[in-house]
Amino acid sequence: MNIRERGAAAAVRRGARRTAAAAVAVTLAAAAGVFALVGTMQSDSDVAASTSSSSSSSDSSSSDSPSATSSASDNSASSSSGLTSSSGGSTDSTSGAS
Amino acid sequence: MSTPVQPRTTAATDWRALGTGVRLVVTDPALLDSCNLLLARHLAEVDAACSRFRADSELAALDGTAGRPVRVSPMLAEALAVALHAAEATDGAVDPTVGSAMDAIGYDRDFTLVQEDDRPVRLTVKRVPGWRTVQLDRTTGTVAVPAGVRLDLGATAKAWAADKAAAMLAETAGCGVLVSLGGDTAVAGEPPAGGWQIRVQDVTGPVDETPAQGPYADVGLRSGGLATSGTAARTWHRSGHDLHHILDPRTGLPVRTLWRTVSVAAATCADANTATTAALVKGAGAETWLARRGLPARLVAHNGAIVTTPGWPLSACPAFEDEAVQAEGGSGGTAPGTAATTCREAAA
Repeated sequence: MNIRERGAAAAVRRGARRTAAAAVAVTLAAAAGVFALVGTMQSDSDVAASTSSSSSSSDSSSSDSPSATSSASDNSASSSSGLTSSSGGSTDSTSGAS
Repeated sequence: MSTPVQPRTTAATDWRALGTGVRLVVTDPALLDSCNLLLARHLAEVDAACSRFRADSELAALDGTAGRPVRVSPMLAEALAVALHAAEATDGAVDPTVGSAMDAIGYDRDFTLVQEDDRPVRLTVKRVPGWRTVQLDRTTGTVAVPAGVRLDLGATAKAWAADKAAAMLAETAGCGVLVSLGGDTAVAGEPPAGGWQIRVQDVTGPVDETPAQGPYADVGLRSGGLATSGTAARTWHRSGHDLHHILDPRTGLPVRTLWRTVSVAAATCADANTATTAALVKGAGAETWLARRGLPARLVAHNGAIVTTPGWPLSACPAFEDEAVQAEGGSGGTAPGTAATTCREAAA
């Protein structure tokens, strides 16, 4: 291996070390973020509530796919609200009197 | 060419606090539990500050202050500011000084206990003291409540709490968040593909069960808030009277209104819920009042007729779109460009 090749090999090793160091830094930052989030949590015994159920959902509705009725005239949200026509996906929440 | 299908993954949890149902939905399922703990802490703080039913709450402590300015927590100061702003914005239709009137009709404890209570009530027409009697100084963080005035933040506090919770969780977790407190819904962060899907109906219920009674409509929400108020829920019977919790500040009694359910979308859930409550109190002509403020709304009359204002998705009332007609103006007439549209929806 000549001098030029040894130099190239050293550069590759340096690059690899930097990449590894950067990966460690990113991992630590992500972990710190999670811990920061968890660290601010407190289970408050005063809260008169308990988690009764949880669920997750995953569907493949498209933001562009119209519902059966969305071919109607576009009467979308005013500038003061984020209201849009339904995309026809699964219901995230209901809003009624309570 | 087919439209590319985008994945849509969310996680949700349901529980109870503040005397109502809590629903939290996030777009990053891995963060659901963490966000839920933060939400529980937030709602505990709101309850300690704003509850009318806890003797140890900050709000209850104001009852004995007899008009003396007292310092309150930033949490209560903000909740009071929202309530007073709502009163001003609605010309007093939404008034936080209805506390004594609520007590008088029997709603002086957690609602589950109200339903079990059988003490007689006597209905008396009496205008509430009025929001202008309450002096809030945000600079010093003090509030003065005259003797005999009891505050009730029920018309604004839950919606405001949902706004604060959604914003805080979205910023902390970095994902899309929906917080619903009894149907008062606030969203923040990047919404899921297609936006948050919300079904408006007479009474807040499970997402996987369409209402057994009454019309409903599905809409999308990408930001801000959506609230629904009505007289179909939180009702009780006492001394021969059918009562509910939406009071008319002019009489101190449950409002007798044209509408049974009003839904509004706005920049915040607090603004939306202020508008829904005001619409119930204003009755006929409320659709014009809402339209003039640029608020997309859906109003359901007791006879099932549905009126929407500009901005409310017409596809949410699909059955008779071709027959949509301009509604007659309300009591104040219909302003140009703000006409409400009547439509009917397929009942369940």
